[in-house]
Amino acid sequence: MGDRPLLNRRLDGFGTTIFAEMSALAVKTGAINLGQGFPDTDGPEVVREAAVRALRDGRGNQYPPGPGVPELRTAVAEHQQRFYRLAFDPDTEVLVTAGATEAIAATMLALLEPGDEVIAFEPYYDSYAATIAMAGAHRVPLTLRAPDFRPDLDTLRDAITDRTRLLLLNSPHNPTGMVLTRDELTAIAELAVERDLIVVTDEVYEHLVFDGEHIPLISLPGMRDRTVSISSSGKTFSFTGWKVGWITAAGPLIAAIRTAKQFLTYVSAGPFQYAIAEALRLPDSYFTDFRASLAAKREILSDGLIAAGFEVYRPQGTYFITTDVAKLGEQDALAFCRSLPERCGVVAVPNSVFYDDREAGRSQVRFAFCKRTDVVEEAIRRLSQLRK
Amino acid sequence: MTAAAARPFLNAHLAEFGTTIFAEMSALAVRTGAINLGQGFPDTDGPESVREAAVRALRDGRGNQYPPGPGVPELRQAIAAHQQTRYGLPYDPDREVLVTAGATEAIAASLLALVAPGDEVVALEPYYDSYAACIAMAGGRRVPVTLRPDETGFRLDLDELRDAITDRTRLILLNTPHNPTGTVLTRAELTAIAELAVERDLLVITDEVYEHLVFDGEHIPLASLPGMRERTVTISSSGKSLSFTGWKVGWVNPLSHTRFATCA
Repeated sequence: MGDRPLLNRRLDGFGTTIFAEMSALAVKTGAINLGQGFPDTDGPEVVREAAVRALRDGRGNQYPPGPGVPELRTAVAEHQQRFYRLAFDPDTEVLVTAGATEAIAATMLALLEPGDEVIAFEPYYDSYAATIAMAGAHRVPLTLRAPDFRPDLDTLRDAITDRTRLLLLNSPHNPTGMVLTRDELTAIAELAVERDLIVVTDEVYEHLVFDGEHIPLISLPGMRDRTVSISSSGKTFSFTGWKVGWITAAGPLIAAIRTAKQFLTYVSAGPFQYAIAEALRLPDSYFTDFRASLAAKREILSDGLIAAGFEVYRPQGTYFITTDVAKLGEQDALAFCRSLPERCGVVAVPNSVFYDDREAGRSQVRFAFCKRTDVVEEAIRRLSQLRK
Repeated sequence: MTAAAARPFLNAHLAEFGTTIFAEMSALAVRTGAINLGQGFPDTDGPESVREAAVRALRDGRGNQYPPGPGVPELRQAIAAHQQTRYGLPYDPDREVLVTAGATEAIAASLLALVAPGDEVVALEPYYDSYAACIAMAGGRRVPVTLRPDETGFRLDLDELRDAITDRTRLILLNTPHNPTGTVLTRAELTAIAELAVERDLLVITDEVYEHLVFDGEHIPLASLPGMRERTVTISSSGKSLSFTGWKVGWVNPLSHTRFATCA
């Protein structure tokens, strides 16, 4: 022990996440929490009752198999076939995880050696940086810049070195709502093939694309054997607390990632795995209606934020809107978000903390719209007081 | 050309940890229809009242969305009360209890947070395979102290433990009741370990998931011994005690007010 800090050097700086700080502020002040991205309404009753049946029938109450229950692996493979015409072998090419968070952690801890470089979009989800650090690797940010947050492909090309092990992509992108186009994905795929790189894609918002379409990178030429495709049930079915995620990838990649995964949680969420297997087979109308209801909330929140004086970067997907508060006379997103609950009873999250290049996101603030319509409207009413 | 083709997908730290023996043996059990006494999970679920508590939580909408990072307050308070009632150990439910995805995540998070590359971790062997893998992921080095059978069972040689500690030792990783030997460390053994930990200024992680399955003697948490409260990370879980191994609810009582980085 001695004088050495308890937390190791690799994780220095990752103490408390901004979500924990802002959610604690929300609780303390009673503010409306548009900071963290979880819905205030549970998903479909049929899915919840499927979990109740599994619990009562004794399915999943004891350790499920390490790779996940066969029912869920089969349902994931069917989902990939149904939505993207992608064929995966449920026995060797699907791995069930404790949410996308464990999928990302296991992938980084399995595939990276100390000293490797990982190129990732910024602003980035904070667990990307932390798990890259845990693996002893270095992150190389590719900055997405306002107003449209498109990746600069020349910059991406220049960022690749002989030490680059993998690209870590997220589309639809949290927090900016950017959705990669087919042209962009094609260019990224060509680069990955040319430089012989693995690409990890976080696609948890795959069913929340409002403009354009979600295209899994793994469907592009040359990518089937070098892409690790990650998704989860939390966002799509509005049961974020169940933590059921999955990876689809070629067998050798799955085998490597499973090695790390089995020592992180071993297995998880026994009965919920059966429930999500049923959820993935819901009719198309579920997915269409879910997207439509979030698209309507996107309109309400973006109109309201514009009226309240924010600069709004209209998202193509996800359930987040990134704004700029400079027009409100605010220069520092973190200070703004820390004062917002006291000033008007709303919690938001500063994008600036998701950048290494803090200048690029200095005055950007993210709001979530996965809340009841009346809650979103009340938040807008409160935010409109800011300029008064 | 860069990384992918020239290199195995799995990194060198984990190269020796392919498939667990449990996966191999359970697959054999399925293939042959043999009775599986290999893997440690019950074939009968735990109490109906516990199962129905889960059903009520689902239907009432408690926990269906992200619970707080450290765990829901109700569970943290229950864990603190359990430690107080059973062992007289006071823990602050807000700052000294962390809920995890089973003891496996608790061990992974503890080792990934506390061990830096090059550190040594002294662990009893035979050991649960995740210990070795998590030490490797953290870039640490495991130093085994072998439990050897005598007429009283598999005992810990305290001299061997003392000799295993070097200037690079970061922590001792203990497991009592011990899987797979069933050894339960005695008060005398625990006292000797505690004295050693204090003398050499070491952290100790104790895996106590079988705490309610001691048949001879008693389970004594190392954290209850003099000088150990502030240097012991106590890990347990509900799977073995309540016979719902598939739910994966575990917890950590860290040393005073430690912040942990959870890894998964």
